[in-house]
Amino acid sequence: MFRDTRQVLALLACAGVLAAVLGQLNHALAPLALTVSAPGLLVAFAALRLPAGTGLAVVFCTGLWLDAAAPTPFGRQAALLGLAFCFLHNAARRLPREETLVGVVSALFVNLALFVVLAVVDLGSLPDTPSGALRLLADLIVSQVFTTLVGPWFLALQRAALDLAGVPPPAGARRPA
Amino acid sequence: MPRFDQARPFLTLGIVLLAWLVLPAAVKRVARLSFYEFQAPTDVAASYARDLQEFWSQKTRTKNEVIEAARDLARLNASYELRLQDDARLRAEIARLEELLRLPSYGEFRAEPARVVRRDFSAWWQRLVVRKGSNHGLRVGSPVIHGGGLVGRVAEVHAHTAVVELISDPAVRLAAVFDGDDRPVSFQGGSNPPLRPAEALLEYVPLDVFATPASPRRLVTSGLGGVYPPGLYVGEVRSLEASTDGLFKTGRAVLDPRLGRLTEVTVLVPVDPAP
Repeated sequence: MFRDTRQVLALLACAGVLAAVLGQLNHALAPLALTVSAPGLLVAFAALRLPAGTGLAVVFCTGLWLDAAAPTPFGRQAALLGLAFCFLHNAARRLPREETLVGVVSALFVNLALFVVLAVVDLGSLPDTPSGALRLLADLIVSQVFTTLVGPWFLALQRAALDLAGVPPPAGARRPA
Repeated sequence: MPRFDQARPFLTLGIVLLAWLVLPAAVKRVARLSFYEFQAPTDVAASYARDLQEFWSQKTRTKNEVIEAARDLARLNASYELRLQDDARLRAEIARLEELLRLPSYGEFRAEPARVVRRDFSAWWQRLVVRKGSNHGLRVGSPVIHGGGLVGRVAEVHAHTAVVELISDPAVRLAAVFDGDDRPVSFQGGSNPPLRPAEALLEYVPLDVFATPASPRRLVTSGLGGVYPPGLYVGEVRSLEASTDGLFKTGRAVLDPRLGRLTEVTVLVPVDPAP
């Protein structure tokens, strides 16, 4: 119980760091009309390395954290991240999930999937669909570049945070318990 | 058994989402506020760090540069003093005409300057977080301006920060007029292409209004609706074309590129807000 709580808190702190970095980066990129988002990074480690219950708690709370600062229904990003977590967690047993490369590639796929889902659901609501689609494409490209560059650091940060909290993720087994 | 094992995360998520849906709205509201207030200090601290960084970069200026800047500032102040005198004369004239014609007067506003903590410009929304909130009397719906005209309106007020919805946000609609014309047109933000200034969509433009890249038309707020004071610069219209029904024209307004680089804005807080 306490072990799970410590894992959740440690990973939430890491998510807070990434959200703060992204906030500052987007502040700097605003004059260029570009936005970076990396939902995949917030999901990948929890889905690949943690048990279902703990990982879902981390991802859901992270989604609520993001929702609090966004003008979307509270809980929407939490639900989307939760869904991405479930798919990735199920795929984890067929993957060498301790590899950094696998974590980064998983994050890239989650980014892509969430961009596509949001585009399909919401693009029609934008008053100027062609420029909205162009903007989303540009945002996706810079987000994927950011995820590729920052992914290894962030996965290592999460691993180090769990080690520091004295609750390292289960190792060895192909599938989380 | 392995199949149930695969479905377990989905089942857990389903239960969590079901519980979330039936949770009372008050609990969600408190949770949202708590999450927001918990992360707000991070953004505010980062903005103070940026201010400090700017201060130290200014310290590297030479004395000659500072003297030149002070001289330019003195010239600006002199011209502003003249404009202030003109402004006072015009205000007196407006008050006299309002009394003479028994016209309702426009609402009074108190100007509250605020530093920009964070710019959050995505394809879905365009918002700013400013470093003043209910602690400085900011109210939801207050118009926000900068040196180049209208920025937007206050959408959320928190304890020490407020969220400003920009006029480039897809959800923003307002009634604007062309400078020198009193017929309102519909203005909607939301065209935010990458690497270019934001644009807004115009509808219900009268057929006798023309705008070309060579002779663009200024768009200003109409004052209708009571949210924005009249005459605030909104954008520049460079092209108009007939709408599909042929009754009006449609077009695009190019917004001020400085909207993407704002570091300081002014919130116009109503002095005597409607109850």
